Amino acid sequence: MEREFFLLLATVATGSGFLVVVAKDPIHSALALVACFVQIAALFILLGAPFLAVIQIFVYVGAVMVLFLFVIMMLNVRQEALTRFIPSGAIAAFVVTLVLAVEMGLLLSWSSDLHQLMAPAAEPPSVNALSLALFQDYLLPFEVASVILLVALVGAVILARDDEKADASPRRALHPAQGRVPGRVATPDTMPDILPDNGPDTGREPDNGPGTSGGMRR
Amino acid sequence: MIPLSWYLFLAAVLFVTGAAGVLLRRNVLIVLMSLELMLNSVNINLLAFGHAMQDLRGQIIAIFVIAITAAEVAVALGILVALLRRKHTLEVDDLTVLKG
Amino acid sequence: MEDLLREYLPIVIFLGLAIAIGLVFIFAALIIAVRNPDPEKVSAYECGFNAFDDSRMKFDVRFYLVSILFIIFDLEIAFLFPWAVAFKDVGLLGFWSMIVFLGVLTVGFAYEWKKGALEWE
Repeated sequence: MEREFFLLLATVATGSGFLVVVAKDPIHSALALVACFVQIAALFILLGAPFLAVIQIFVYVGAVMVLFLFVIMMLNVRQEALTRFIPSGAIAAFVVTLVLAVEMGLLLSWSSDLHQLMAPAAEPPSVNALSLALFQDYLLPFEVASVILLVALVGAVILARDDEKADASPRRALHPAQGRVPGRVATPDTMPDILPDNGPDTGREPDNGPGTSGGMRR
Repeated sequence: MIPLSWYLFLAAVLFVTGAAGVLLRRNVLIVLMSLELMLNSVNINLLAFGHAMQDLRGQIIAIFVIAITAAEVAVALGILVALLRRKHTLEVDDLTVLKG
Repeated sequence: MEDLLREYLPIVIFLGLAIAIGLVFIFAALIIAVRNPDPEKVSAYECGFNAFDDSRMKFDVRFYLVSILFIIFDLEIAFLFPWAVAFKDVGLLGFWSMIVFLGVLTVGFAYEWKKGALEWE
């Protein structure tokens, strides 16, 4: 039964992975990637790692792909303006990919130890055992991971800042009563569409709704 | 039962597909998505070996890979959005100058 | 392994049924429905008058910021889950190391609060 499941999951994962690379619309590509991640999560269950399968769905599908979809929607691009594949250097890239594929295939076929059947685990390792290993043997990487997340958080907030508005306004000295550096986080006005001929928005009223420039202005 | 090499073949196929996407696509968002595909194939590899050798380290390293990848995606998309505010183009051929 | 797979069988059945019903709806509409498009029928409904502009609003950048913050705190939660499962076994050292982890991320939370990334209006 396991073989049939593996073949089904592997086929769908390969197909949707191929679709990610080939699709013209980035939204189709993102949805195919979501399908691929779900197959990979099911494969993690077959590999005796149910906790990792849940984390995969939780983090990758639930957070990372949602972020990708938001960015795709924000950077709205006219589809017919883009050609799909890079024209310059496509031959070299294709040859390199082919060489990589052939090399990996040959290495995997020639190595003799890898073709044994995997013994089924007596029982797959429990989340308890995983957690004990994480907090006793791998405590330092765990704390370093917190610093990495802190850096990513600060970086993301800074990068979303609106530097044009911060440069345009006169730099005031930091008043002791103020807690903030003069520089504002981005508002909807400063995030243009990528459309080449984006005229003035006629559909927006000046003083209501989330389309106006209320927002992170301090 | 499934031989280990089947999982490694699947991981290799996904890795090559992701690499082809990174090298060949012009839209920078799809390049980033293909990069995610490559990182997931590495996770499959780690877990397959962890299962074959009955070792817990495969799962632990995979957890860290997932966490760091998600943080990297957040920063990469932040850089992309900040860059595209000035450049207004999504083609990798035009994003060649280091000065933003 | 068979027992493990047997536990997930309801999920597989559920997913299979959901996909099957979804596909039936899509293809039934494609095959059975009468199709007679007409410019008047197909245009957007705008309460009586003709639509004069694309009605889409510019995508708000606040949603993007919220989803970035969500990724980071989602990862924090993902690390909290195993700690909560083995809370008794990791002992006092495990408790304080998780407090250090949460403290580092609280510094980040304080930073983004002061920077105004959480303002909505």
